[in-house]
Amino acid sequence: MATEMGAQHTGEKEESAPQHRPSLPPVLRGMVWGGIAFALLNFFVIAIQRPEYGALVSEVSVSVGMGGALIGWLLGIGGYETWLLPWFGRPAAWREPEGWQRYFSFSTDHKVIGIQYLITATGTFLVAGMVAMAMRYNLMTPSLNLFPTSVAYESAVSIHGTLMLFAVSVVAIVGGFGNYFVPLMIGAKDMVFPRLNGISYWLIPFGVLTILLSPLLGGFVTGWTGYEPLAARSPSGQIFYYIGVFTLGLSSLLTAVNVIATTVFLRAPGVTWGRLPMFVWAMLVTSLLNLYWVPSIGTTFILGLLDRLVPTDFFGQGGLPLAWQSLFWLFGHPEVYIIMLPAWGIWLEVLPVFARKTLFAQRWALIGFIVIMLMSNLVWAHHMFTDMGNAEMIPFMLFTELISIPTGFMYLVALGTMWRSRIRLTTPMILVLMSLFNFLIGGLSGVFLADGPVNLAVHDSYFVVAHFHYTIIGGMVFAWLAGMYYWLPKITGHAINEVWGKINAVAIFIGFNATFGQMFLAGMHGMNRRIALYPAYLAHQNLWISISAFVLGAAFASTMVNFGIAWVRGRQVGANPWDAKTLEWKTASPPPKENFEEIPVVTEGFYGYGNAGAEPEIFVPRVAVAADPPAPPTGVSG
Amino acid sequence: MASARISNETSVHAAEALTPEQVRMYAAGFWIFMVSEAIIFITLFGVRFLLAGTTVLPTNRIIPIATTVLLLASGYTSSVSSRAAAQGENVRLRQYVRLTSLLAFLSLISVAIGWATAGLDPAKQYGGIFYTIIGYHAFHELVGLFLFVSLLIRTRRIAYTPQNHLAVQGTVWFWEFLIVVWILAYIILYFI
Ligand code: HEM
Ligand SMILES: [Cu+2]
Repeated sequence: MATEMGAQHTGEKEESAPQHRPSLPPVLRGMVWGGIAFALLNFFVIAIQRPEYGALVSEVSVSVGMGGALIGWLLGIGGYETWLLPWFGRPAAWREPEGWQRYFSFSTDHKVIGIQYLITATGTFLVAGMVAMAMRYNLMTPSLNLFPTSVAYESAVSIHGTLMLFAVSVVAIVGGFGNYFVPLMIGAKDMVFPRLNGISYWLIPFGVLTILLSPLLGGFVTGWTGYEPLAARSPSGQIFYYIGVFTLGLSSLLTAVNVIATTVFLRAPGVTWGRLPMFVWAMLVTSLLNLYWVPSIGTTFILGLLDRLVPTDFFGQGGLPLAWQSLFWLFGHPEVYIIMLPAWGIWLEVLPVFARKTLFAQRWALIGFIVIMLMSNLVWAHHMFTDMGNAEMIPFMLFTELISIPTGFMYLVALGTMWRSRIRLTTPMILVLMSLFNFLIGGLSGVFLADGPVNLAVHDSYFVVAHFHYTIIGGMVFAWLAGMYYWLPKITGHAINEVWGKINAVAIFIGFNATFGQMFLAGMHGMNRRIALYPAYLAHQNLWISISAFVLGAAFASTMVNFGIAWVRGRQVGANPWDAKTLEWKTASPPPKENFEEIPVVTEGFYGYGNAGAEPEIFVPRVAVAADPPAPPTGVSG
Repeated sequence: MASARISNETSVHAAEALTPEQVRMYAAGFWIFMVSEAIIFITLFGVRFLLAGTTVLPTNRIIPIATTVLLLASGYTSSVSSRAAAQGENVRLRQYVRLTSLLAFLSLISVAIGWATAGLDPAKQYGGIFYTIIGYHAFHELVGLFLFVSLLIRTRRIAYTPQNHLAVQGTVWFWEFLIVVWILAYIILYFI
């Protein structure tokens, strides 16, 4: 049986292995295998359960079926050749397709994977954005306007929130830029675990589709937070929420393992901890948060699922509904920093390049990252003030308000860097400035929310909606767009149209602030969140919010068109169009396979611009490195 | 005989050569991942105390003893197999991996029996968390068993070397982690 195994087993995918060319394109094969697995397991469970009225699906059968579908999908997409066969001692018989097709199959190239993440996150952003447009359309009048029932509207809210949180804001920068640029910025050829990386990406489409399919089982009404005991009364689509978010979390977890191992072990000579680029630091800290909070929430979600399927009673009548809330927010608040830390990383990369000044007080930004990471574990109950006594609020109030201090470090670093500089107002820089502005409003409104008396008044109102959209869209999405404008020339080798970039940025900025600025007011006037029907006196305001939201939607769409045009036929750019210093700019645009002609050797920090000379190193470098000549101040005018 | 099988095999190849630096890197990556595995059980144990306090309801107490013994025995055999791999003794490695798989399989059977005869109500707090923790652990054991069996099949084609037997080490580490978790779960579910 093993006779054909003359070829040597080297663990490499090249040459030696007999090349199985899958008969179907990988995505199609994944769907077929996943579909078959689903059908088999589903009907197997149904045959055992024999539900009344001859139903063909039950919550149990669908859940089991989805488990099988996930495995079938992952094997079909390429896991069969790259994971299962090697697992049984056969060579990995997978030849990665060339050209555009490699984006639609299992890949081990961190740059391909980064692009896969970016495009998927963008697509999901657009889909979930369309859902938001539908919600706003419905809210133009106080009655049901588009959706047939309140449950349908609430399902739309839930799908929108769940996708935006779990499949966009924690995926776009971390999965997209993180995969693409962490190895480049530290001078590595790839991640430590490329195969793991490949499989981790393909969990995302599965998770997204699962959540999108929830209306098939009636949708779900709990929003992204899945509160009990509401979840117990939600339609059966709730199980897709648990399964989908679980799958997306698994992807974040595997990415986190990869990022941590890569940063620790694959830094090029001279990329000391003290010189590590701020974006990589941000990714590292984010990955640590992911590493210990994602498994926790994943387990919680399984418990929630069991509450529906078995049924156990962890969070229901006999259990503790508040345990769900605590478990959710123990993860949920760190999650908001998982969203924001990478965005700050982008701020700190973009600012010195366009201010042409050395990054100011770099070490304080790093201290801020780490203190935030630690403190974010101590504030979760500020989401639960309505469920506790006054005295219990005080520690959470205190910690939440304290966390704005290390957050403030980011602003000091940003302001210090821009102080008396001659800023080049390019699109990425403009977007970072806008992100700074928006996040200031978002963060300060958070301090208000953390204040017990205020919170009790505006909790669960549009004030909260405005707060987190200011932080997530205003902070993270603006930074993501800045990253796109900043790095897309590196990824594609094509410049983006700056004029349209600026027009779009301004349009988004206006649309965004008009939409969500008004939501603060609507919240204070008594507009509750997650409701399809509202009192008539709020109609005027809601109409204007909706109109602004449509402007915002159009501006986003227009930005995507600009990206698309640049990708296809933008002007060619060289290796370093922005005249930046981090390592990704030291190689061609787009970077060749394995990134660098030869592994770079770094002798100075990455942020020494202008005549100020380099900032002092954060840590005393190792002796071997200290022997290098000190960095001469670079003469870039600034 | 295992040895005969191995020598007849013309296609056994040494595992990919790794530098000590790479070995450290992959091993560290493995333990980074295991942090997340530990968190899963920490969460579950936390929920046990949160929901059921320190309640212990009477259940079948004989079977878990058998499970514990089987698991401890498999922990011993697995560590022997790891040492064999470290010395490049692939014959002994195969013997002990086979033995470990057998013990692991038996322990899973005992878990299944214990599960079926526990007689608790899953809709009550203690019962719910009882079945959940044991079930989670059993699922991980199933994965461990899969790892051992696939390792056994792999050793037909791959000879592990003192320099690179990470696949063996990883499997054994995972298994030993599960044994530690089992002991904690045993104490937490049956005694506290
Ligand atoms: C890092 C950026 C931040 C993000 C991404 C973020 C995100 C969010 C989200 C998504 C919610 C709503 C949760 C829900 O659905 O109920 C929320 C609520 C809240 N945030 Fe933030 N937030 C950020 C920063 C802050 C800061 C700096 C503070 C305070 C200093 C803060 C304080 C609060 C409070 C107190 C609530 C609870 C409001 C309520 O439900 O009554 N947040 N935040
Ligand atoms: Cu929070």
